[in-house]
Amino acid sequence: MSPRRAGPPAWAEALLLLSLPRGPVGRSIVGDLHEEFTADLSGRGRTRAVLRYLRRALSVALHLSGPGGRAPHPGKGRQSRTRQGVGALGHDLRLAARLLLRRPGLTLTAVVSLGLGIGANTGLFTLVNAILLRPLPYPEAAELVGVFRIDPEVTGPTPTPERLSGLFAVPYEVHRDWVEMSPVFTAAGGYATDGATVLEESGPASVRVALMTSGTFRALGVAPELGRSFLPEDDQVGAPPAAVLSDGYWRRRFGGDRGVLGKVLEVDGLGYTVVGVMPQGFAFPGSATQLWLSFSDELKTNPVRNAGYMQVVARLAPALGLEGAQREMDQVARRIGEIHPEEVEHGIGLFPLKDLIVAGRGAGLLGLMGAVALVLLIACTNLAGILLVRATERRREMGVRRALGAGRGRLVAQQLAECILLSLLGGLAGWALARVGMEPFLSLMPRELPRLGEVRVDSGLLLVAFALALLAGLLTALLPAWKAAATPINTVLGEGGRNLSGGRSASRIQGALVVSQVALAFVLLAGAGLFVRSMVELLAVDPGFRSEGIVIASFDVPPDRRSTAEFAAFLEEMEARLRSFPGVLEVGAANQMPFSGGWSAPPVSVETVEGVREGIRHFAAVLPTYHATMGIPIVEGRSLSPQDGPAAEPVVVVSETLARLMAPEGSPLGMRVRIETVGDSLWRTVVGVAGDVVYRLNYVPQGMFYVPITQRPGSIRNWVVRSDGDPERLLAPVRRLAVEMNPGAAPELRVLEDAVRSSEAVVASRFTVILLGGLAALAAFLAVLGVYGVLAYLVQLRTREMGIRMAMGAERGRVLWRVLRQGLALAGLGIGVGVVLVLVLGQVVQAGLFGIPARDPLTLVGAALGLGAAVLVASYLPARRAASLDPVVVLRGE
Amino acid sequence: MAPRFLGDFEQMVLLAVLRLGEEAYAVAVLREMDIRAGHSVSRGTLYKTLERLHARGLVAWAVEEGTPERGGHPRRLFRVTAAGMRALHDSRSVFLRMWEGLEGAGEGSPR
Repeated sequence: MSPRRAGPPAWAEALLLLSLPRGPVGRSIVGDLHEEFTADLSGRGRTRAVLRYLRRALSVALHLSGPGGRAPHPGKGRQSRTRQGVGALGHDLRLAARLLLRRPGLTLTAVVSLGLGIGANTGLFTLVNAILLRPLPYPEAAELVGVFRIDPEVTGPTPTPERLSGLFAVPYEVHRDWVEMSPVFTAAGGYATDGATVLEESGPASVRVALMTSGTFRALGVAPELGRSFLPEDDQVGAPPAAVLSDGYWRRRFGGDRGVLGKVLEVDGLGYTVVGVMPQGFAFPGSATQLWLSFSDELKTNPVRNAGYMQVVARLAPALGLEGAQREMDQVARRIGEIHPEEVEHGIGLFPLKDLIVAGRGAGLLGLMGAVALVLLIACTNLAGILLVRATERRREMGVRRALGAGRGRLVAQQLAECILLSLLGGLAGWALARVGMEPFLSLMPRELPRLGEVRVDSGLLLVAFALALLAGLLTALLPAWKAAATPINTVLGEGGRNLSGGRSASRIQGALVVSQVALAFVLLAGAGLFVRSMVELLAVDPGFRSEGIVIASFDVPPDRRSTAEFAAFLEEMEARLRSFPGVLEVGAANQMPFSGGWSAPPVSVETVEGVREGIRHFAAVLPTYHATMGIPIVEGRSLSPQDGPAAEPVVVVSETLARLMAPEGSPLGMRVRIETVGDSLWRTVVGVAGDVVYRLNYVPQGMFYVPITQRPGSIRNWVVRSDGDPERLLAPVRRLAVEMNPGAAPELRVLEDAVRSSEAVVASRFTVILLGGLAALAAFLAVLGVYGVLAYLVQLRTREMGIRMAMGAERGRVLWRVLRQGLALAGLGIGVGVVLVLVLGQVVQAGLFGIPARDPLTLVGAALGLGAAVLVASYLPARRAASLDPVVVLRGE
Repeated sequence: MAPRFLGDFEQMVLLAVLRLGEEAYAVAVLREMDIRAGHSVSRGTLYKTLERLHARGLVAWAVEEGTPERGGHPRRLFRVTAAGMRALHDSRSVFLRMWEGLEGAGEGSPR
């Protein structure tokens, strides 16, 4: 939001200035109104001051926009055509304003429906603009690319950023090769995001950090606000650990103190010297990142080449272009393959950084934009319907005016003026709606939506709203206006003031408008229905474990207990103390687990019936009790047991998916698995098969296995505690225990059921459901309003006919049915068209759906019944009015 | 320009400008008319009238630099020209002649 201004709204002042004569006259008038505004502001508050200002500005603009402000007097001789035109416009606008005020109900309906349509469009366009259209907030952002390792066996020949699964991160060593060997980067560097524990004044705090090389800062090209970012010296082995603060962290922890440079932060037990602060708005790779740290010597010197934890970002030499650069990088990949034969299959892929950040969200957003555009279209048809009614009402007036010599263009212009005024009011309403509604709307957005922090509600919004409003207004106005002005004079005058069947052709057009409204509303309703069903399916997924009663505590093993002996003792002590809590049934632990952050997936060799296969697999190092605690069934063989100690034969339990891969027909028991990382080349024997587990609701790992933690000591982060009561009860005591066991940690605790419910997929689909549901409700409401309008109008037109029918003995029931039938016919036709549209457009949304086809018949039938019922209600009111006509009154009215 | 009677509103505007002397700009004119005549005036009408009076040479204006409370926009100070004074006097004397001998008329009569 813009800061409070002392003056009137800038847009209003600008509009006023435009409508006034140029030079000192206009500017002095603007000044006068400004002065009056200033006086109002102190006495009446801003809202009232603005309203009064707008009223005055309108009065001035209407009076002064033409010569003398009124239509040229016939006696005064001819003025120039343009002057006459300008005068006529002012006149038309004033007349239009008066006519609109005389029918407040109709006007309000039009303004509200336009306002809703324009508001929704403006808001969503702001979002799409910020996320998809605007360049990233870096200088020459189009030159920035993400660099990835590509394994053609996994990705196929043409990986895309939408399917990130095919693109691999790399270790420090490989990143260094790329940066040093590439001839096409003007700057390049690597980064890796991580969670870290920072010792703050109030105790250990969990903070999102990104490890960065100096090249990354150089490539992004953003200068620090204070101090420096990383320099090539920081990349050297032996360089002192350095930290750069985000603006947010700097303000939160140090209160924006400019003397922060040189202070030492304790991050995960290591001291990092603060060397700089980045400016506000610098959020790389995401807005969650609070600190940037230099890479540790351990990572800089680690020779491992087949791990992956680092992403690489580079700035391309502008002359080359993406394709040229890609060809050069293909050469680099070939040369690396010659040095390291095991990487000969690996490629290097360059992708525009923006595509990577937006990664696949584009289609969804554009889909929503389409839905919102449909709502506006419906609003426009509503407006057209209303104008058509008005035009029909005024046929006689138009006929008289034409008979008196008014030109057809002149009459059209007058009706256009009415429409422009309506749509400007609608635009104003829409803009107000977008401004007020934007904040709550943004708070609904899934947090992981990229670039959300860059969304700004600005005055550009107003421009969009009014452009949309004018477009909508002109599109809808031309047809009715032309039709009304085109009616032959004698027809109208010959009607003797009666509206016989004169409105029939107008009502045919109106009928067509209503049919299209119903069709569009049906598309949106069906779409919303699909996403609701999809979300239900998503929540009904069997995750492969039982989450009831489970609490997860995540924290690191304290540094002084990481030696092999101490580590085993730590595990034993933790397990025993957790078991001693009342109500605890089972205790397990795993280094990684479902719905609890990321996981690593190393290259793994597995024996299969067709020989050894290498691939990326998930594995978890677990306590033997893990499967029992999580309720993951063992479907074959045995579970891990305490006997699988360090000295025993190395064993694993594999998931059903991996078991099927190893032995499609028989049993994998006795086959072996090997993790291909440095320092681990043990073949481990399969002793059991566990049920598949989903890691996120819409993602099942392609093959997973479990290793007993004692046979592969390392970190263990997640403690799983199952109790027989409410898991919330355990949160406090488990947290206290975690802090006691590792005073330097900031433990994260959560209830597993909550973690599943609030997981990314559910949140994203909930967002879609809310948004699309709201739009569909809006569309249905507008369509129903349209149906009501046209039927009410038809009844009014046919009052006389129906009066005669009833005088001749027609039953009321039949009259009622005749009107209802018309409403249902329109609805039926509309729904029919809508069904066709959904069947055709279905493919577009399929990617966003989970577990149901886009042509789900249940959803289609449901949407049709719902919309049909709404139309029936809308038709009933005018039908009842028709049926309750008193024939005597009607005929006497003649 | 052919001699012409001033309208009521034109007369009121001219008189307000005259009363305000050095400080006669639109906002002050509005205030003056509100206070003296109890007449709340539409901004549009006032500005139109001022333009018309200017076009007939009955008022003249000069521009003064803007102040912060005016958002920096200039201020137009009006004054009644000699022709304006003449028109005011003409109108007044016409009215006075027409009123001559009728001062008490109608005041005591029952409705």
